[in-house]
Amino acid sequence: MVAMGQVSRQGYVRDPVPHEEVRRPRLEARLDAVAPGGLALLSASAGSGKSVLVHQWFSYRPRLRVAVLALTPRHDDVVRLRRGLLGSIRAAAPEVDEALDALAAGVGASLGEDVVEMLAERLTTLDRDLVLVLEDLHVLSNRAVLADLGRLAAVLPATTRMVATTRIDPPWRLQRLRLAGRLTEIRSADLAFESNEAKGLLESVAQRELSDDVVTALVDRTDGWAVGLQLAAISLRTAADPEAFVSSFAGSDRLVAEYLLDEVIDRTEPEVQRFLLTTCVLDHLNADLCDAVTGAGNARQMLDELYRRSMFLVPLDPSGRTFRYHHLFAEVLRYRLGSEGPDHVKELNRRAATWLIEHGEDERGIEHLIRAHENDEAVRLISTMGHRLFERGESATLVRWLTVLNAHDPGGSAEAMLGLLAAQFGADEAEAAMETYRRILRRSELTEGERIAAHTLYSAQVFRGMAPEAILELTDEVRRGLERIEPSDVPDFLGVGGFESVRAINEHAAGLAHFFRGDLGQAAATLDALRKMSSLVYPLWRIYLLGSLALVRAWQGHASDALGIARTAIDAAEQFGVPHHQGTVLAHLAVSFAHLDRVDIDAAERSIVQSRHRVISRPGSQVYFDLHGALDAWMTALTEGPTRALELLREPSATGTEAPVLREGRRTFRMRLLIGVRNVSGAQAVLDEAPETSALPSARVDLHLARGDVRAARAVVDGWVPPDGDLREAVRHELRTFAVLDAEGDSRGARASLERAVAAARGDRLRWVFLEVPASLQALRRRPLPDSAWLTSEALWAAASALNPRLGAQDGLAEPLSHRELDVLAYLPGRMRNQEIAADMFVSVNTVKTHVASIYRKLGVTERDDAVKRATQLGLL
Amino acid sequence: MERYEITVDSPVGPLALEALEGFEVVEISGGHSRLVGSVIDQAAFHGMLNRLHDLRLEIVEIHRMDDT
Repeated sequence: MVAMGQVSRQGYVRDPVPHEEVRRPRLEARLDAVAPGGLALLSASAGSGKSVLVHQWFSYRPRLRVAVLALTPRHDDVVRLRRGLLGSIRAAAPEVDEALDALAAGVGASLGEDVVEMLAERLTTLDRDLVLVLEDLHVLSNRAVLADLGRLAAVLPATTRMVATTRIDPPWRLQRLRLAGRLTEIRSADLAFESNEAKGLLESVAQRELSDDVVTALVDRTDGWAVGLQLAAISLRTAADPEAFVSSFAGSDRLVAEYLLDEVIDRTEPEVQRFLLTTCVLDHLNADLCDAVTGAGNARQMLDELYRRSMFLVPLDPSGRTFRYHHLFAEVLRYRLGSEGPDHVKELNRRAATWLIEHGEDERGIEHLIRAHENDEAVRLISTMGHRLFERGESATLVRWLTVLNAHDPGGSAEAMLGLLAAQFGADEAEAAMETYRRILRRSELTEGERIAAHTLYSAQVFRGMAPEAILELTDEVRRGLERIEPSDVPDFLGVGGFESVRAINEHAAGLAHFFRGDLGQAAATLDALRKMSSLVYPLWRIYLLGSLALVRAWQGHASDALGIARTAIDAAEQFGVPHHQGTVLAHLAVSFAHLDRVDIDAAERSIVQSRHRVISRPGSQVYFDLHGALDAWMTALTEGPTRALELLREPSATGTEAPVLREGRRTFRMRLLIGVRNVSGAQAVLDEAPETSALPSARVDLHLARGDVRAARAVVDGWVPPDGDLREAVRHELRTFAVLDAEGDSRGARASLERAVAAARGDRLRWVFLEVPASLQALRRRPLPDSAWLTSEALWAAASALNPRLGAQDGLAEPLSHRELDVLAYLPGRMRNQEIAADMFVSVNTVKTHVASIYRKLGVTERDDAVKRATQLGLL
Repeated sequence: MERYEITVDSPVGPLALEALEGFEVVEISGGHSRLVGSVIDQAAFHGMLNRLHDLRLEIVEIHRMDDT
């Protein structure tokens, strides 16, 4: 660092001790000139003065809004990166929509293209321009994350500029930006100090005047390298004869950095040297922690002194209590420390870990425990506090720790491996998780409790499209196993394992598997029994469970119940401080489904946003995506009409992993929409593609009625027994009964059926099922029931008309045409005679004549040509 | 500009070449490819080496040619 007294937008105060600071107008001007939506890439080796330049640049421009993210290897965990990135943007630009917060949750290996696009899209709404500073890109080893940041740089809107520093060029495609004039590159050659700039720097650090010859010699020898000049200046401060120092330096053929660092370190007093060599194991320095590691009590004075001497101490907080060493300096110190033997280094790390853990900084403590090779202690700690990272969605960090620990000690504890398995599932690393699962099962000394815990964690595959039957086999085995063993035999993992957790996870997986298989009653019963279990104390399991139960209840048409349960889950997540956790996805999905069942489009739209953000940031879960696809299609049908929705509903090209319950729902929905637009053969084709086991009773009835085959429709209705507890199916059945009776001419019976359907659906305000049978809405509009006002709004009628384009066409008629009459009407524009029509329809000529007469009467015409004209005007043809 | 000749252990396809902006294949023989090209400075050169690594191309030899 050239200038230690840097100020930054996060509000680091300028130190009272005057520090050297050399402004670099020629470079600041180039940063000023970065185009809107452009990128400034500062790519140069360590110590070239990249960071200092950027901080100086924005510090002296108080009107700039700056979001700074200093990257660390911890940002390879995509959740941390996403949170850091969005957090810094939100801190600088509070007007950015809060919806961004939801993006911060989720897991996966990369940010994801969708997240990048959404972020870029949100940035267009800024009130004032923003500069996004990303420091130290080179520390990221997660290439997917790095690529996503590059994508972000490429799609930035004009409101935002990006300034990125790195030691190594990132693998970004910069050609487009370059051609568009949106790329500013500041490289080693640009950052190198020229003699006039160097003089200011050298003199302020050395605190003495220097001749031009000395300055020129140093610039020559260091190639204008910022840290090299600063190191030389520090040595010059105590050198008796500057000329002698410079000539010996210039005459040496040793590496510049090595020569100068050795000079600087050797010239410090032994006490200071000892302090540097001991504390260099720390990532962050504060006085108490330094004292704990050195065993001395003078850290406060030491840090002040180092800071005063510009000894590469970088302040990390506004109060100036926390520092870090400049990277290059720390690396050299650690290298020197290494020569004192690995045991010494481990001892220092152990001391650091002890202090950090005593002071509640478990995560930093674990990092030091791992470096100290204190495997057992690290595993013990992770086993008790790991859930906190899980709750924050930072499972990837857990995976990193436990992977290192397992590598240190391949035969280590089963607990560590179970923790790793849980973390890998949490981080959506399904393949790695499978491998861990297999390794656990291969362990020679595996206890029954450990085996059961492994199976239970593996059942998380239920979210990834694993066949429900296979999940149920697994959960049955765990259930039997849990009866055989003592509760204390089940190991803990991440601090949230043990008997009760294993039972809860297992029952939850079983409940979801029943749901995906289409057995809603069994699903609801299993999950409801789990809800009543008093021992279910861990809030996240409870949140997951309630979300699943809400979804099942919504699927059964119990909208009010579903909304209540989902609300409880969402509130619990809020209270527990994890409102954006993946555990809330199913609850948000349930809310959306319930609102759509009520055809409450505004409310559905609001809740879909909540689930969409969470699903997009979680690329690994098939099930979430499929559920969301179903929601999208449903929503589209209601807002953009059936044609667009049908495009979304084409059979998925993916493998057959779609859950049966979703597959059946998709088929029913497609058939309903196709019949609505009178594409009867299309609906038949969907049915033909479905296996014989596919029940689809409501769609079958609709198809028969659309063809006028009342008898077949009657047979389906009579043989159809809606499952217990499934309100939606019960109302559907009642409405088909109504439709069949209506077609049979039994208007009294039809009316009774309609009344029963309205009464059953009223409590939950299930409107969608009535849209499936538009004749029911027509009947209610003509003759309302005392409590059917919620079904006769103009908005609902408009929705019905949009889904059934011919429906509104009969509005102008005193008496609507029947299904059969509409079929005959379709023949009239052609040249066919009644006899031919009869033959084509497999009915008698007299029947056709009766229908035609009836059509003429209802349309108020006397001739065929007029009937065609009138029907066309109405939109019936 | 700094000019380099880099030999890697496998044939380099057009897709990989696109990622290795500024370099071209001058020879493919014995399962090795010889790439020649220029980079602006060391940071760019190391970026280039990282990209070779990402593409799983093993470096057999690097030769710095005369600066242009």
